[in-house]
Amino acid sequence: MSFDLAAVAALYRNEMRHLLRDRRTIVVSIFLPLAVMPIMLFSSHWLEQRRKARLETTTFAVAIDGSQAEMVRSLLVQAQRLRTARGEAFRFRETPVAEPLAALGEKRVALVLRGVTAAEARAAAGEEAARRELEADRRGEGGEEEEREAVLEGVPVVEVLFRADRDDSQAAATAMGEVLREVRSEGRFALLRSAGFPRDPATVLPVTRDNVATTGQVAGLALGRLVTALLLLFMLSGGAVVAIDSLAGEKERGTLETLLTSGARRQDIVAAKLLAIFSVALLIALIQVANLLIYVGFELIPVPAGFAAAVPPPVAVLLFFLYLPVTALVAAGLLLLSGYAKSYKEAQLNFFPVFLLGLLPALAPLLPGVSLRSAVVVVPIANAAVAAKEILVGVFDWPLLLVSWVVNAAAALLLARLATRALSNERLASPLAAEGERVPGPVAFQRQVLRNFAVLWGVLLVVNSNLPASTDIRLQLLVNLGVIFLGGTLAMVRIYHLEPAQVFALRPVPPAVWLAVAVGAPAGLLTGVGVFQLASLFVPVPREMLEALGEALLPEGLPFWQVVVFLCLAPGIVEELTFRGALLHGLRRRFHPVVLALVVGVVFGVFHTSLFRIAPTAFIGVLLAGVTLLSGSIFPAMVWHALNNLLGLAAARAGLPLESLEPPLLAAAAMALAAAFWILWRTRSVYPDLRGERRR
Amino acid sequence: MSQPVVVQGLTKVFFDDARGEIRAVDGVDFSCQAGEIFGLLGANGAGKTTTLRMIATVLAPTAGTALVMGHDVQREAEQARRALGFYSATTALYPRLTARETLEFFARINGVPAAAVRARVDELVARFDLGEYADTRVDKLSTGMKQKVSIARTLAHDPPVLVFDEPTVGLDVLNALEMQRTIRQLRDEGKAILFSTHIMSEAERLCDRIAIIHRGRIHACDTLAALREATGQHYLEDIFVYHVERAEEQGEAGL
Amino acid sequence: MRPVRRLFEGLWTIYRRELRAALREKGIVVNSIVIPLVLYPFLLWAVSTGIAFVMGQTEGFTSRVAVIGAGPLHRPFLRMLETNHKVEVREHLPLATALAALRAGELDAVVEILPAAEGGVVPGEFALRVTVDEAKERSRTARERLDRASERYRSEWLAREARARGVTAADWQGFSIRSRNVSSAREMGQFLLGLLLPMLFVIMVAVGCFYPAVDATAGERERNTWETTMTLAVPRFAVVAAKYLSVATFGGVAGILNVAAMTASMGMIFAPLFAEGGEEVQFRIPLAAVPVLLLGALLLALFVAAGMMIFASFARTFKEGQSMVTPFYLLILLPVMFLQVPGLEFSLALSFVPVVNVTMMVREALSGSFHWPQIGVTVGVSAALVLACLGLAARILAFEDVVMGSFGGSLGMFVKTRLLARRGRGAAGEGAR
Repeated sequence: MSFDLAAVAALYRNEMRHLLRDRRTIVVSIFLPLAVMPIMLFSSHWLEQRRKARLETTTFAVAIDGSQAEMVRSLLVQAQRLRTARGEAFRFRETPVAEPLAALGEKRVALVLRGVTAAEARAAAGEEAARRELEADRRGEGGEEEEREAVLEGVPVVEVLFRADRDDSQAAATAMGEVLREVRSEGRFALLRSAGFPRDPATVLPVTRDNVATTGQVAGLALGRLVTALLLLFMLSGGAVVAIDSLAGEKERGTLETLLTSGARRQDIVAAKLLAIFSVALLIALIQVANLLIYVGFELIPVPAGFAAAVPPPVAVLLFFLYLPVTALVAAGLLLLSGYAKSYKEAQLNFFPVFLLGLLPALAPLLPGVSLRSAVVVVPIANAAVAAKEILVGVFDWPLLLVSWVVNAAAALLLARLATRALSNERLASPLAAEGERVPGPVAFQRQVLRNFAVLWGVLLVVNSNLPASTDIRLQLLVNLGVIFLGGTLAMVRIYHLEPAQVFALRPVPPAVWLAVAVGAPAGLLTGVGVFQLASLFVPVPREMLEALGEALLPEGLPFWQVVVFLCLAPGIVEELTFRGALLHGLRRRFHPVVLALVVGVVFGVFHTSLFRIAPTAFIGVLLAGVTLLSGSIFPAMVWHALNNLLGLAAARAGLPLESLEPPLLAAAAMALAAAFWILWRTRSVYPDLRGERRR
Repeated sequence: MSQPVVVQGLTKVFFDDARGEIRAVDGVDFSCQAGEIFGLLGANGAGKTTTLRMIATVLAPTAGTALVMGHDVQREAEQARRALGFYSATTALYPRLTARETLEFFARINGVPAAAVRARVDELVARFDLGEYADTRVDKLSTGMKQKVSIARTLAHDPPVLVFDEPTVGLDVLNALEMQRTIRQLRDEGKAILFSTHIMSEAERLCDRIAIIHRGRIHACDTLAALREATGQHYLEDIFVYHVERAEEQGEAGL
Repeated sequence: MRPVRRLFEGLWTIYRRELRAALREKGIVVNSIVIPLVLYPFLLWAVSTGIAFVMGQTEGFTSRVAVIGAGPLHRPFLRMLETNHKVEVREHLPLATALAALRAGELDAVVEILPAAEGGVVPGEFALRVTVDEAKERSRTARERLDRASERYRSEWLAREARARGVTAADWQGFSIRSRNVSSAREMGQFLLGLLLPMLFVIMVAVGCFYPAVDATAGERERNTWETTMTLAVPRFAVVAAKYLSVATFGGVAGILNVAAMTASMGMIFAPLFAEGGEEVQFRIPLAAVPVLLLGALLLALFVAAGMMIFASFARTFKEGQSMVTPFYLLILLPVMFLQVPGLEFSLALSFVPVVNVTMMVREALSGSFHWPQIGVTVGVSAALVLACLGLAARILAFEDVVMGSFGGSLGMFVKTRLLARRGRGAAGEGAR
């Protein structure tokens, strides 16, 4: 793609001139945020102070009961004495109440201390503790966590009962724990001393701590977590105002048509508009950074020590370069949003989700333990955010910094190209698009199918996250497959007046196809395992997840025939009808056949929402789509799918490890798979009416 | 040297969910010479606007070709656009630019060499008598002035071909007449002008040749005199109705 | 009686028309329903996927700790580190190299074993110096692990010493401490909901009112349908009230839809986080809170719609309208975002503050407490504000140039030149009603 620089320059100058003369927009998009930021900073600081102060000065009301209440009281008295001797405040006060737990619920006390004997404690906690320990064993946890205090014979237990849904109760519980431990330590040290310990027990095994990080770097950690998100927030909201006006607004005013009929080329127009939005976004970002630095520099807001030292000039310059492609990406994304909207209002309505989606990756550095050297490096925006954090703590991973820069730049270019295409899309560029009452029909189905599947996905997620974890797997499957998938698909057939036989490709196939299925299904299963192994190199699976997955797939105590019906036949039929039926049919003209298979596969993968199952599931999805496209019928895919599940389950039941396979076995499986597809190719009767067959 | 505008078999098919395939323009042929006003006359929805927008490269033809000064509108879109000036009631001006800035901008992006821009703009300001208003913002101009600025920007790069799509829509009598006068002047200067309208009197007064377009097809294309002879009618209205009725009959007969 | 009846009939007709017209605009309907249904689950899925991803990355990562100066005495300590605290011990490194590696991120901590201080040396004792890089998360985790390990080693060591000197296990233990959270899963769920939901609620109502408000005023002017509307045979006030009610309807419905979608999807992140602690948190909005929620939606939508429409009624294009309404929009959102402090009590004083009072009312309802005096004040204050806004709107409409869209200024200018100047100069321009 070549650009006429003079034309781009003229267009750019025009854009900027037009923009800068719109005073109101400038005020709203640039200066208003300037006022917002200090308000945000001040308020959050003030609130934090107030909250801390409140907690530090409150005296917590405590209720005491239980058979050993007297002992608890004496402990508190000792604690008070200890604290007063050290000159510190003791912030607890006993409040006599009739029903302690009720009082806790009614907020009359913050805490209930119950003194019980060991026997009582064991009895009371028996059931719950047993359950907890069972859980812990199942998850294979061991001594890393805090020691569970042992309940010894004859040793009383102090139960600290609190409510985690209340700030004060939670704080009181933590403080009380500290206080009680202090008292106990004192007691123990007294025992040791009286037993002849030569020294003050408190001085045994001293530990001194040292830190090699500079205050600047420590501050950099705090800053690095949030800086990208903040900048992105301002760039998106400020840039959007310009971007939306730039294409959608011009469309409405009619000036876009004037541009499109002039001698300027589409790519020059897009380039100029992109540059304009980019300039604005960059300017906003710089202004906000300067704004922040002023407040920090003049210490108008208190910040952690070393904040100013966190960003020495060379680091600032590096960050600037790092953020350049991110700004371009934001600008391109906003332009794309504006380009595809038919009116100003529509663009505005679509902005909110785009805003959230753009902000989300910038929050990546908040996750503990994310480093640039991982799959994150290929995720635009998230990679820059994580890179910024690493730079600010003094880690300079140059090769990966370069990679993330390239990824962002490439993403920006891609979006810009799509924006150019939006300008050539006539329905949007010309005011002629006839918006009559749209009667849903097969053509509307093709246009809306992806959106409908997105809704289906949302529904699936919501329903599943609200089903209690202990729900019977059969019920879960019934809801997922029967209600959501099948119900959704049939609803679509009904609403869009589709022909079931066509949509579901219910056609007979020659016998040779079944041979291909018989060979291909096991081959595909094994090759899929290879794909899973490959994927886990980039996205390693935590052990717990693997176990959970395994459990979910192979519920205990279910008779085998039920396993076959619920886990093989039902998915094999319903999922095929949904994905290789409705979805494939709806998208058949939108993509070339190979891309179509990939898209259908990926969507299928995404519907199996756990991150680690996406890749192998997508792989099978692509295979099944290929089978359907080549044979023109859904039945082979159904049988293949059911067979795939059956073999996988049988292997699991028989204890064969299918988590990792030797390369020779994988190679053999891949070859068998290729053979199966060769048979399909030879006996093909291609799915009708695909793209690439010109309708004319 | 072939004619400035040559259209052959131009077709545009839209797809509407409710109505299925719509052939908005169905195999249209015509050409336009230099120093001629060629009129497309038809009712709303007949296909005039679609045809003109295909020539202006805003829409892509489904079939057929259109050549503007020898450039194919699909393969050499940019050169085609540089050779033509497009004016429509819906093409608007940037409200916050002054008249002069508007003209400068359009001159520049339409390929007028940087050195010549200023002189060209001065020429246009003089020609359209924009004088005092040249440095006023467009959104502060009256409708009549805006119209003048619009035409001026269409001519900013002195294109040999001009396309006017229903230019007098929404104008009062005086402004409409002014517009017609300007168009006639441009014809006399040797421009090839494509002109569409549904107002009979306008077509009668302005056009050298008239094409009657109905349901995407041209049913007659000739000078006014020839049309009168062929149909035996005098008023353009009657000629128009004659052709449309015949077209409907033919359509029903399955042609 | 008749004029009032006419007013209401006219109002109802126009209100119905407004709703129908907006519902026909597929874009709006699609966006209001599809987006919450897909966006929130997607966002929350993305977050939980991110968490799962991170868990995968960091699971089992041991802290790489260089130990310097370890002798045979210290074996038990090192063994404890490796078995119980996920520490990988590396020995035989010179101190300088270890520190350099720490700075470069190749090590997570450096532990020096030093001889114990003087003054009654107890056999087997030693001191530790732990050096970490506080700017690196792995290093911080290493420090925490080392702290826990040394704490445990110390207490076990002291316990052994005590036993050796004849102190019984029971005496040494003294007493055991057990902490227990007695709030139920439902209550926990309500607490978490109460943190997020009220703020979200206000944001969603504000966003839901924003575009309809600007569209109903400035948008109509831009489309030139304003005049058509203004010349209907109904009292002008009815027209304005009908539009206002339709905007409020959209805002309220949007708020409720979005909040419902959010609540339904929240289980996705929080459930697995809490499952670790053996608790299952449920996210259910208590049935008793629903009427309060609806009341809150109503009050908020009415107030926000009124404010936005007043600001936007001076705009001539959609874009202008947007610029004019944004300050008001921010004005509403900012206090809400910052008064989201847990533990803030819904005092009587607070119930006089608009928007904040509704937020607090909703939050309290979610945790099952209903403070009737405050709720009463909230309703009263909101109603008063709505009436005030409507009154202002009626005043504004008395001025023809505003109505016809030729007034070229904003609300501020209007107030200055028309409302305040009126007292001095007489009612210039007060036109048809």
